[in-house]
Amino acid sequence: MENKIKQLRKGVFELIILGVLHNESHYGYSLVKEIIGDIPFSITEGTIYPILSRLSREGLINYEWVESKQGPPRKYYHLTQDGRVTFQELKKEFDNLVGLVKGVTAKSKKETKKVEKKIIMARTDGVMKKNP
Amino acid sequence: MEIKYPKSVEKIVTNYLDRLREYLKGLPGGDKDEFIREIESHIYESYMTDTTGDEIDRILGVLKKLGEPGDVYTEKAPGAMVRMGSRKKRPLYIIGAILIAFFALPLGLGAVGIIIGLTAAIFGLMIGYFATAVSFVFGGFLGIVLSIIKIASPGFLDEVIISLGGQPTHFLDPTVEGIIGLAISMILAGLGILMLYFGKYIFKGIKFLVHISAAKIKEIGR
Repeated sequence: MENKIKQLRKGVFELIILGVLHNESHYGYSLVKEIIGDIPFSITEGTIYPILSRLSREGLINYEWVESKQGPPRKYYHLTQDGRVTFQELKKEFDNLVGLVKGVTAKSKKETKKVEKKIIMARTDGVMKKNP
Repeated sequence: MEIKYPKSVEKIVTNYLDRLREYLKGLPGGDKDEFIREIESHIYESYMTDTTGDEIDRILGVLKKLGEPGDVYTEKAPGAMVRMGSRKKRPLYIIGAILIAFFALPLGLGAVGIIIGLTAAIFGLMIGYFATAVSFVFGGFLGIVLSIIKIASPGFLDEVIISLGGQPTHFLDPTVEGIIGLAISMILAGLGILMLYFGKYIFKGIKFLVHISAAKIKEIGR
């Protein structure tokens, strides 16, 4: 189960990164903090860097090294125009999927309720018949 | 600004980065250095933010959250592999990189012409290569059969030549000629088989080049 959750998270990880960069530029560590925060997340922090280099190769993000007063230079990532378009498209698709998942579960909940009602009715019917 | 850690912490960080470097061996130098620099920066930022416990606890916690170099690398690997092929196919990667560097120049539609021309030329070379290999194998096997006949019954081939209206000529004793012929034929056939075997790699290489060219054409088309 944990593995399945991990996989699911990994799948949307890229979309989350694009989403965060859509709002503002980040360097690796600030991006990690923004995404993972203090919630124990089962994806290790290092996994973000390969994804960043892939997104950069695909031209969805670009970067620049900026000197920092607090320590070594930081590699800041920005979303490119291509990245913005891709993010919007992916987000639309993601929303569709979420809607679909929610729709299915809502529907099945309704069905369950209907069945439950029927069972209760049948039981009360039986009880009524036994003790008229 | 330079990174300054207490001695013990520095040792742990250096060890981690060394192990990471080991895992990144297959990557091109520039990419590797930049990746390490980024991880170095991450470790520093994370270390400065997390101020609970003593310095050893802090750095160990930071590295644990970051993940083992092997994990970081395996995540990095798939993307990098796409670019460079596996380490075995390194020569292909170099050819590909040269081509990419060449075509990455803003040549516009001219580049498409060059790519098509190059691909066609390579295709022609490949056909020539395979034709040579096949003829070597055929020639070699034919030679082996004839040489064995010559060794087994030295007079037989002469009779065939005479019956066809020819004049058999001998430089050496027929059996010795047969043995020399057998050796040469075997080398020829072996060479042909070897060429066919390596053709597999050439074929893979061409597939790789065609793939790059197609991607490039698509990009220009856009």
